[in-house]
Amino acid sequence: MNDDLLVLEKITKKFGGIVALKDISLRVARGEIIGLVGDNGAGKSTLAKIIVGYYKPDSGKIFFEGREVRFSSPQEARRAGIEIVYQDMALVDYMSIYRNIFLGREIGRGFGPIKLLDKKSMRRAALNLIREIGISDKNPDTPVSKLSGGERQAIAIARAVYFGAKLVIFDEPTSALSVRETQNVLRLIRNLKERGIASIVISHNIHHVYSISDRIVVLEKGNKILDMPRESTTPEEIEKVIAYGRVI
Amino acid sequence: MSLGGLKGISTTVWVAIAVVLLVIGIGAGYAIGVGTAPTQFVTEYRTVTATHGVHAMVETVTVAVTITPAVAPQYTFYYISHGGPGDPWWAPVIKGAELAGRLLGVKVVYLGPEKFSVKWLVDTLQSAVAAKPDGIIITVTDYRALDDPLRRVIAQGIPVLAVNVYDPRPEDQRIPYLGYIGQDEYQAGYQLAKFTISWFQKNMGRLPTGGVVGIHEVGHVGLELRAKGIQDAFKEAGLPIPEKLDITTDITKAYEILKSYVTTRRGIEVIFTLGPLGAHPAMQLVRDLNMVGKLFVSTVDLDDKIIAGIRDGVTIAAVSQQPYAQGFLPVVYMYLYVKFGIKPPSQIPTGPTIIDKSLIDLVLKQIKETGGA
Amino acid sequence: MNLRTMYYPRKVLGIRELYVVLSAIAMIILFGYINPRFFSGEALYSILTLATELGIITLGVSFLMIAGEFDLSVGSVYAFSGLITIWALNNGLSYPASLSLSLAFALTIGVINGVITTYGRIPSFITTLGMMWLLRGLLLAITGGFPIGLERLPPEMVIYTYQVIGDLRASSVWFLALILILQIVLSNTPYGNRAQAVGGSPGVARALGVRVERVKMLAFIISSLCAAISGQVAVARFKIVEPTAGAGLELEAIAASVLGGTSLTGGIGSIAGAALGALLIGIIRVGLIFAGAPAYWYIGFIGFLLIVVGVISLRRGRTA
Repeated sequence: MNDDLLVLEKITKKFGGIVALKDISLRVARGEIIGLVGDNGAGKSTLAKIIVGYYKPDSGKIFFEGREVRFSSPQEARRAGIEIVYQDMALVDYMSIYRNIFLGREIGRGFGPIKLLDKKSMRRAALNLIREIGISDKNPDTPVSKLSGGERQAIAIARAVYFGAKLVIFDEPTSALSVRETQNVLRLIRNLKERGIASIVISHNIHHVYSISDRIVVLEKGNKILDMPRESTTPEEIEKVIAYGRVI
Repeated sequence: MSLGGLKGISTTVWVAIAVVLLVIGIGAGYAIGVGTAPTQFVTEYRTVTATHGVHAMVETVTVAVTITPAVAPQYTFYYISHGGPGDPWWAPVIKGAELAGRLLGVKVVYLGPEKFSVKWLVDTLQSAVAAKPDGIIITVTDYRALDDPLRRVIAQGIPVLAVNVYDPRPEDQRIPYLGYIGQDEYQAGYQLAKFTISWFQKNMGRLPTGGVVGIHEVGHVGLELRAKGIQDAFKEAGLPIPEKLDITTDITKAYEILKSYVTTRRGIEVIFTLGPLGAHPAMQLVRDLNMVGKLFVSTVDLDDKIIAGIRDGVTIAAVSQQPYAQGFLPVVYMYLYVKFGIKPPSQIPTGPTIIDKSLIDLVLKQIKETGGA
Repeated sequence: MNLRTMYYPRKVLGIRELYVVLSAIAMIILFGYINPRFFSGEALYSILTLATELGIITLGVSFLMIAGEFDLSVGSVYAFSGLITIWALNNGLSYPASLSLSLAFALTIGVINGVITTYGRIPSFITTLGMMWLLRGLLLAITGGFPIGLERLPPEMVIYTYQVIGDLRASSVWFLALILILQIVLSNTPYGNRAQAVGGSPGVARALGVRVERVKMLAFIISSLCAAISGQVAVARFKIVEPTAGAGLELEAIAASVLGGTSLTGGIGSIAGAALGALLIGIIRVGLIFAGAPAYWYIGFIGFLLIVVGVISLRRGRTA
């Protein structure tokens, strides 16, 4: 109980007459990797958006680090330590790496409204991050468009870590990637675990998700129909559950 | 986002360097410019041959501008006017200036804007002056905006002649140009309206019950003055002041706007227009409404359609300010001044001449010969 | 390897501003060949005067375009704020007071444009088009179609007209200062960073917590303020405001921005490029006069250049 980073208690969300999520309860421990899967329209994205504060639940409670929270915006959630990495909306492709990393949280010198960018510090920090994630032959002024899909994901992940995320949600992180890049990204997500950062990985690819997750959670039409440790199940079983819409 | 990645210099530093270089360049340019005093005469053979082909090509389209005299031009005059290629009224002006240039062996560069703009006029004047011409002919469209710049031009020793619009202030206060060639815009409207009123008295035995003024370019000083002249003439005669209507330069819009106006108001007997852009739709309207003889048009400026209108009784009268003369005469007077030191008279009127049915044949000849009236 | 040697080595041809610079040099050589008097101090000052008034507006328009929006009302703001200044001065107010009124007016218009566009979710093209006509109509109605003149030029306005060297006016110095200021804001401040992001990728910016609406709002204000400043320069020079003043200026400013490398889709562009674009237009205008060319070639020239630049820009895609 005291180990749990995030606790969702009976979260329900409706859009008009449609029930997107019904009484979802979920626990995420520190450093745990949760694979969140389900067919289209199951409510995975909605759940993610509620956790990061983009939506407010109609009923239910959220506890983060033991305290009840009610985020009014993604910024608030981010400040608390919850980040989300979107597949296609993570970076501004015509801007450089360091500008992207610090977008919205720029390092500056000065006071009040007169703040100038401390480009040296930002570049140095970016360079370190680049080295850590293993793209060491790129420099921080490179426009992001010159990076491969995997490298871009890596930057987005590195950014989340840099800013002290405790929980990172991934929305389809491997969809557009090559085999090699996929392995890289999955490795990075595992690294997060080593740092004690928890992850929720939303994906259509059961095998990718299975390979790194501690637990698998399956949603179906707004309901949670499966929630078990990875050892207790197999990818094929999970696929069947999703296909039939219920536990066999 | 950086302008240079060359040797690690950021954009901001590049910009700063550029600014410094520019300042140095300006200083150098000034020093060099002051050092060499350019001569007054211009022998621009290259320009002559280069533009000759273009001149011939452009002539077939509409407005030719750079003149190619048979002999090497001894002088260059810049004719800067607020009337641009879009306004057909100015076509004979350009032709007149052209002929004068050819006859006298003078290069005349005519400059006009795409649309009416005082700012354009001042900017172009200053650029033209930088080219150090032998004389400048200019429409003094707004004496306040041109006061300073023209005084400076005159102080530099470049002779200036005003054409088409003048500085209305008394002689000792106005811009000291050599002279003015043209008509008075206010008078053009005023005389036209007075003529129209007396025409009614002569032919209908009474005063007109009301009129409207269609202005096709609101804010154009010349047109506004014409409109004011018309309005004042009506006011003096004790008649209701004609309203000013923005009919735009689009013929279709003008037609519809006028149509709505005259059909919904009572007692409108005359449509005053301030140029062919207004006259054409107005005359068309009178014909379409079958009101020839009941609704009339009186306009400023002429062309053959308007002449036809006068003949058919659709149009009462049109004012001519002799555009050809406004092109021809200033070049001649400038030549006389620059070559022989003959100072032109301070006022050389080219109008207003009221053209009605009695003068049609004369005007037709003028149009045939010069392209306008 | 240290940071210095690692700066991204951009291919020379990759610099967006390069095209403007090359065009400018080509034009200068062309016009100088036709009429060698073009290489004179006077020609340069003439170019700078033109470039300054268009340029100040272009800087603001460009900044806003980088932030992803258009402002078609700048021509009307330019004229109307000039009218306010003249009206205030003619009614006995001091110049500082008149200037404050004009700037306050411009700020208000910027805010209105910003609010309607960002919160009302109306495309900025439409919002500012409406504002352009609204202000123009008001201007025509108030002036009755006649230009309004300044009765007396206040001595303070010499800050725009003061002749620094030869015919070079102080307004050009202000232009240079504004270039530097806006360049620093765009490239060296957190706000500038966010503005660049918001312009081309508002979704990403928003996902990262950037207040997209606020960023754009400020950019609208910058655009209107620049228009008002240019209006001051114009009043100082012409001492009148004609009702049609500034009409068409907004399109020229957009053209100058595009020529200078600013993208129509937002996010990409530079202040230096905008200034160079205005300068290029000035060079072409004055050059054509020196060459004695037909009056209307100017607009054909600019149009042709614009198409060429547009095609090149499109084919290069979205890279800084």
